[in-house]
Amino acid sequence: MGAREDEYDYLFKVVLIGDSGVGKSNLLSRFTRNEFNLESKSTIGVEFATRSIEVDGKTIKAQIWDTAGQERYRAITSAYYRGAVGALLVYDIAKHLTYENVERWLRELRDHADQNIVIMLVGNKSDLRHLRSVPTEEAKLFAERNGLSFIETSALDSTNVETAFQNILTEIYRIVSQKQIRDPPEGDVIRPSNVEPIDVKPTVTGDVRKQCCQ
Amino acid sequence: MRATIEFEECLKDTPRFRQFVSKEEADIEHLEQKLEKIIKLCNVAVDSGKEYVKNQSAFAMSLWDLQQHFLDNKNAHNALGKLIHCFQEMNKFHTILLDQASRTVLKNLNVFVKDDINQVKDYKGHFLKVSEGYDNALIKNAQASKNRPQEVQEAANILSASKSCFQHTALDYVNYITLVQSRKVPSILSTLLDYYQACVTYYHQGFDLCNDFDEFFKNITDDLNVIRGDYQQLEKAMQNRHMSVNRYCDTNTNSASHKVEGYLFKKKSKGFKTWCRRWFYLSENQLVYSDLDSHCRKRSNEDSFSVMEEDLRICTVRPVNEGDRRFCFEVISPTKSHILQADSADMLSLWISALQHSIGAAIQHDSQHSRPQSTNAPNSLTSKRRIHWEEFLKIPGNAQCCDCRGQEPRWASINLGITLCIECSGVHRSLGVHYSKVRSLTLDAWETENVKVMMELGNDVVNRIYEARIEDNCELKPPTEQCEIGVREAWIKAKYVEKRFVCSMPKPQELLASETAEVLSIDSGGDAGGSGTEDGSGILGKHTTLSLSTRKWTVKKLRRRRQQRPLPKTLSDEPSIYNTANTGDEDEDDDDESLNIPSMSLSISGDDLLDIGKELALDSYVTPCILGSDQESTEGESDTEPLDEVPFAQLDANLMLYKAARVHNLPVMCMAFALGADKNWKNPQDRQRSSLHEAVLSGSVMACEYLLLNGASIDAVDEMGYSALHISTAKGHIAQVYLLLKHKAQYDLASSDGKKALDIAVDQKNADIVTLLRLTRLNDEIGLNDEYNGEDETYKDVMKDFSNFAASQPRLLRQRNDSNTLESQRSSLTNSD
Repeated sequence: MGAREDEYDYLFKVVLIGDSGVGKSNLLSRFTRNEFNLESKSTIGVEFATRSIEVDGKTIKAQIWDTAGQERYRAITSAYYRGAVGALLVYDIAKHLTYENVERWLRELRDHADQNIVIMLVGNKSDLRHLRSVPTEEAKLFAERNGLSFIETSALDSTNVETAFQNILTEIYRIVSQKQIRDPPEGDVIRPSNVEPIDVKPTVTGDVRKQCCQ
Repeated sequence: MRATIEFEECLKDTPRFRQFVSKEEADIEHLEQKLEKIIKLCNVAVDSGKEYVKNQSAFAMSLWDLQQHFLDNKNAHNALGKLIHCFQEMNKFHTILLDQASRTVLKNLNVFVKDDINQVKDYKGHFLKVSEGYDNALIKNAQASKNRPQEVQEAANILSASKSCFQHTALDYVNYITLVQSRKVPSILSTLLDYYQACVTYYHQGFDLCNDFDEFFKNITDDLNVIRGDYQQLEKAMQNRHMSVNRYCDTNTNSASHKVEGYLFKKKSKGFKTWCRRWFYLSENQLVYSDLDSHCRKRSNEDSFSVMEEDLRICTVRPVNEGDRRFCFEVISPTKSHILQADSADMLSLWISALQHSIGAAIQHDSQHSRPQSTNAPNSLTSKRRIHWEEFLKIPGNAQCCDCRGQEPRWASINLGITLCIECSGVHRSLGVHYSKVRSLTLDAWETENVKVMMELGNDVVNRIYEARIEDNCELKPPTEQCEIGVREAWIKAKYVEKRFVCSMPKPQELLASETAEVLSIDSGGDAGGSGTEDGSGILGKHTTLSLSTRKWTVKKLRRRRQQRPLPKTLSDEPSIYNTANTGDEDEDDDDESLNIPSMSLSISGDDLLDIGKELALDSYVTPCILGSDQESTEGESDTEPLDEVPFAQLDANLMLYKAARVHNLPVMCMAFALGADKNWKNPQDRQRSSLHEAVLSGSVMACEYLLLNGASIDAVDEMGYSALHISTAKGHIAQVYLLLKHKAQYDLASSDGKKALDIAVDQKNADIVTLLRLTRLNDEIGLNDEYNGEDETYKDVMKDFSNFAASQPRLLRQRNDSNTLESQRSSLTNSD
């Protein structure tokens, strides 16, 4: 763990969303407790975990909301997205349907989350090479088109899990810290689009790509 | 005129004839070539003409679209219409011209080339063949041997036949040639003349068309000149505006008007803490801003305007130093703080002075008049709501202070459910919050559940209990609107602390004694008692034969707020749930059997059953529209459940409270409290459960709230170790779970079988309650670690979402959870892997 739990410079709420069974809860447990459970049960409502990391000498505490993927175990939607500054949109590289549903999750984010929310597309279960049904290139292209960062992870063998969280938290930190220093652009009308996360994206996605295992 | 060949020369086949023929042939060949070129070019011209017409037509169509743009300008619309019409007519004429061109030039010339010239050419072949045959015959004839007369004869015959044939053919050929040569001029010229005529027609049509519209377009040109003049004037005026910019700025900042509106930068309180520029204005004591910037989407059920501060009277404004930013100021209310940034120092001071002026004006205004109604406040996302204070006064008795009868009370005691004048409210405050929790009807924002409690009780109901025995206490003077503070204090203390005017609890035996009226009702004429019991004391004798063992008492379900469905009319055999008694005639059962005990408000209906509290809430008043009629969490339960009957021998205040809580009958609960019921009493006969447990089981939020307001222990457990939170979780009552958590119920309490509320919620797969519980725990963890940020903004927002959802759509919520449990059962059956 990067820092003492009770002291932090920034607290970021990050939500984990995606279809049921794509491995959200295991991503979280791998990141926060370095645990993996092959037989984990469906999440009901939401589960929380926190972990602090260091970026630029600042302590960033991530409050991660692991939400239920199954529709019938989901609480009222607005609760999940209030105040969230980041979202990990997870799909299973071995189940194409979970990838197809990414669009639906994006829609939900656009409807309910802060418009500046940083979204990272996460193809989980990259260890299942022989069962892959979503090509990396396709997902990468999709992510680019939609202004998302992209990474493939495996909660089972730990590949890229740390990197994924590190990247999204760094990205959020960059945006938030820049905002605090820099005045918003001048002009009569300030459009929210001025502060879209896309501006900052290329540097981070570049990192992600290098670290991708496939 | 061309020279033609002599008849004889043809027959003789002279060299001149041959020369003539070849010359003519070359001439025709030449003509053909020229004609073919003409046809080709004409084709090209027609085709490109067609293309032009097509594009022209598309152009006209695009003008139609443009015309739609001028729908609001009738003149422009008309003129454009006419112009487009002209263009289209012209286009039509052009189409006709092209058609004519292809009909005349192309067709006629083609016919001339194909028929006439080709005929000559075809015949030329024939002529050459015949001429060759003739030559052969001549040769044969010349070669014929004189020794063979037969051969000579034969050759001579052939020669003469060939010669004749040749001569005819030559004549025909010459004929054809001559004909073609003579026809070429007229047919070509007439064709071109036709085309010329077509062109004449085309231009003529165009001319006529233009003539028709000439007048109209002349007018338009005149109009245009006028418009141009106007436009130039306007342009000048607009330019002059620049001159007034500087002047405007000055007047704007100088005016001390409190009508201020304009753009400010607003710092977001959560998430990215970004600054956004919004249009702010002051309206009806509220600081409002437009959401217009967030054009891409709107949160559901929110208007395009948000209220930043609902009541400026409780706000202060001050300049603030916000990082590097200049011109910042802060609007502070008891719960929130907003950082705003003006564009300039002048604007900053203008805004601050305007806000301060508004705050001052609002406070002053309030002391003179009632507060402007703000029930239409656009911000519907808060769980608290502003209610017009006059709505509270519609609850029976509430139009007068509960204690001194002063008019138009502006204060309330939320745990007693009464309204108070300002003087009495002061006395109530001095009693301490365990006796009375005072709120302002006009200044405070009200929690939904507190409003519900207020609506269930009201001054009439409460005074029937707390002022049941006034006449006995002559030494105390009832306070009046103008009375001295001492009188007020003494009265209020006697009324609520000593409970001196409350009728004492009847003993079961006394209740059953034949002349019960004397024991129980001190004075049946007291108007504080139930006014609905018109029947005299003559009927009392009827009950003398009842024995202790057969008499029972019960408390019926009560919900005074109006339901969406109509009141059942067939309730004559189940009287008074809806308090229709004072209409006089509907409760026939009671008319002859009810026991007139106004002070205790006990009445006995048929079947030896005492319905406690029946006359406490007799008024069938029309519920003020404070809350939507469908907001009751207990909505949907059936009212015809069997009544829980208790033998008379067990009639005591604690059990009364307990039973009343089960049926969310707040008037009876109030009576039980007045009779000294212990708020934390546990029923030894029912698993050691407290009244709060029962209120939770009733599914009612208001009953829980009423108990909690009156100090019931929130974490009391029954013999199984279940707290109210355990039970509400098990029942899936999300609104109650929310209420209990809001009152800081302990969520980590484990029952005797080791279950915490969260375990139960997870077992039940109730996503909403799981989320509520986990979120509350998370918030506490954050709060523990973070001394300067006790409660997370996000947590508050999410909790609000839940409470709104639970309050506004209880049925939806229930259905969701029902289907959830059904589905989870189903899936647990199918997903056996």
